Amino acid sequence: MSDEFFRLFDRIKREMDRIFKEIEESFWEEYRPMFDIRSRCLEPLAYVNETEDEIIVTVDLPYVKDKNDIDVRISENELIIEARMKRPVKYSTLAGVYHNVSFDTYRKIIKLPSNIEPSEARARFKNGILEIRIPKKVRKFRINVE
Amino acid sequence: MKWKYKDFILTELEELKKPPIVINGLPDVGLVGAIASLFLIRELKMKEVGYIDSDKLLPVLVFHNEKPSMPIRIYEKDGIVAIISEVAIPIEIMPSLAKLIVKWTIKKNGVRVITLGGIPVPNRIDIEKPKVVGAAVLDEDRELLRKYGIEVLKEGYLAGSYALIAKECFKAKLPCITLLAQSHLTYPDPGAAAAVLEKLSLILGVKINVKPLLEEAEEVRLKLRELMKKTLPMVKEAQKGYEYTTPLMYA
Repeated sequence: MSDEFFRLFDRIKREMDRIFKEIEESFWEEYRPMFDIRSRCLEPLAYVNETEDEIIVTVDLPYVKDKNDIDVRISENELIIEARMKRPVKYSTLAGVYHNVSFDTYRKIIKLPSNIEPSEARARFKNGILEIRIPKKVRKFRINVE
Repeated sequence: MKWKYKDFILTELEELKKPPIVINGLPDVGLVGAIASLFLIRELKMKEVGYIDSDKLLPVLVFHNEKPSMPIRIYEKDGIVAIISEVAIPIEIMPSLAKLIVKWTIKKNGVRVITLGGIPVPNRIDIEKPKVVGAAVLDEDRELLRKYGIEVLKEGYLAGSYALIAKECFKAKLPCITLLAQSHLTYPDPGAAAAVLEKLSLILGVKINVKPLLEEAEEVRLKLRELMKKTLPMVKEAQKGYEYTTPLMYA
């Protein structure tokens, strides 16, 4: 009885930790800046759209010229996008005190749902936008209508 | 001179000398209106003639060339007035702002309100030259759109800030045109801004060379990432999905 109680207690604690972590991450997602001074990386704008059979991720990559400057890695639950700009950029309006820092890379990590087929993902880069399409693991059966 | 409506106060720094055509470029889908209006202000060398403030706006002050500026500002040149905002405007206070802009335009004997914006299309990545459609409140403005070869919105909804301004103009019978270019939803879209400016140029009868905007497109996209990120939740709250909806009365 006592073991069962502690197992249940552990499970509740783990679930609460997970919820708090998610809340914390979503809070920082809104307020953290879109640059990292230490790594000289900018965070690009990205958008994830989910359809019935695929996940479509688009990423805006201004100053990236060539598809060969883009590195996309995918695992079962994460998409890591890194891209090199054609030249380092500095911008005076960037949070005032950082106006002398230059950036030459984008980096973005996107969490993915678990029901995807990473090996079948495909990407294209057009007009400065990277588009990645990741099929979902979908098992479909036809049902005869009588 | 100050004009007040509910939460907002419009302060005129200079008296307008002509009945104005008021152009709105408030942050919305793809920041199309904001980018277009900022470019217009620079190209026409418009002068700051006022600002709009509210306690309900985000607590920010903008600095340009070392000098502080209010985030929502009004510019003017030869009777063309542009209203821009460098902050995202919460949708719950947007109705008051729309009413203030329209009431002020009427008090100034305004000729027309023109709102610039974007209509999000999922295949924007494949569109080289975005199409522009116009929605007009009055018959004569629909004729004006047709005269300049601008497709007129026949059926559909406007949503968000564009809709609020058009609605106030409709109630006041004030001429109002909304120019919408096919655009990205979530990324700053200077290409769409250039497309609406080309059509605006026809309506205003003023030459607007959009080449520099297209040349600076990457810089604009990079610099406006943060504003776009902050505008998106408000765009989502503004029921933009309605713009894909067929109205109930279709006949």
